[in-house]
Amino acid sequence: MNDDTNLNKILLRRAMPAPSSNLASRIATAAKDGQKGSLIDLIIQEVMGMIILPRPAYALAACLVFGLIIGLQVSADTTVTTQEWFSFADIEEGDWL
Amino acid sequence: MKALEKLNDESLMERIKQRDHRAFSILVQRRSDMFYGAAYRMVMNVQEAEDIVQEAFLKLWDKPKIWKSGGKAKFTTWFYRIVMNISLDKLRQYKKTNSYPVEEIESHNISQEKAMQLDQEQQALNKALKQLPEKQLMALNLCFYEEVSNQEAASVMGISVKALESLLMRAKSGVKNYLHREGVLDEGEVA
Repeated sequence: MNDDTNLNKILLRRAMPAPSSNLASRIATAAKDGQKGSLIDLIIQEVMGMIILPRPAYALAACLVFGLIIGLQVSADTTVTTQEWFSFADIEEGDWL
Repeated sequence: MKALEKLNDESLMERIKQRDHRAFSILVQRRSDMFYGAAYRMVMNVQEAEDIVQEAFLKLWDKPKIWKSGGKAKFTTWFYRIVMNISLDKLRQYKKTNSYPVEEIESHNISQEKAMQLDQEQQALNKALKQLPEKQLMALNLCFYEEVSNQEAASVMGISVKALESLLMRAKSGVKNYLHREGVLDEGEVA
C-alpha cells in the first residue's frame, strides 16, 4: 500500500501546462472557416463527377468486354481471305522490269 | 444562446448534427480543456495536444453523424476514444521517427533546491511514462488522471475491465521500476 501511495503522490505532482487561452475560440473559428471551404469542395466534386469516369476499374473492364464483342462481330463479317492477304505482297510491276 | 448553454453534451450533439455552429462552440468551450489534458498526458507537448484536440473537434464538426444518438454512451466517453486514437497515432509517429518533441518543465514558485528536486522528479516521471507501451499509458491516464471509471475506460479502449486492470498494474509497476532506477523512488518503495 505504501508503494502505491508514494507513487500516486509522484503521479499527482505531474505538471501539466495550461492550454492557450484562445484554444476553444480557435477551434470554433476553424470549424466555421472550414464550412465555407466545404461548399466550394462540394461544387468541385459535383462538376468532376460529371467528367471523371465513375468506378474507373469497372468502366475499363466494361470497355474491354464491349470492345472484344465488337471485335468478334467485325471479324465474323469481314474475314480476309488468304488470296486477299497475299495480294498486298503481290505488287503488279508491269513490264518495266 | 443561454438556453443552449443549459443543454447537456448529448443534446448539444443533436443540434450539431443539424449544423448548429453555436451549439458546437458551446461544446468546444465546455470540453476543450478537459480533452486537452487527456491529449497532453499522452503526447506530453502543449502544441501537439492542442492540435489533437482541434483535429478531434473538427472531425466531429465535419462528420457529426458518427455520433449515434439515442445510445447509452456518454458524449465524453465516446469523444475520449477519438482523442485517444489521434494521440496514439501521434505517439506512433514519434516512436517511428524517434523524435519526441522537447518539452520544458514548468518551474515552480518554491525554493531553488526544491524546484530542482521537483524538476528532476518530473523529468524522470515523463521519461518513465514515455517508455511505457501506449496501451498502458492510455489506461493509466484515463483511470488516474481523467478519473474515468474502470468500466468507462475499458469502453474507451475497447477492452474488458480485467484487461484494463492488468494494463494499469503493469503501467504502475513499469513506472515504479523506472523511478527506482533513476533514484527518484527509494528502494523500499518498489514492489
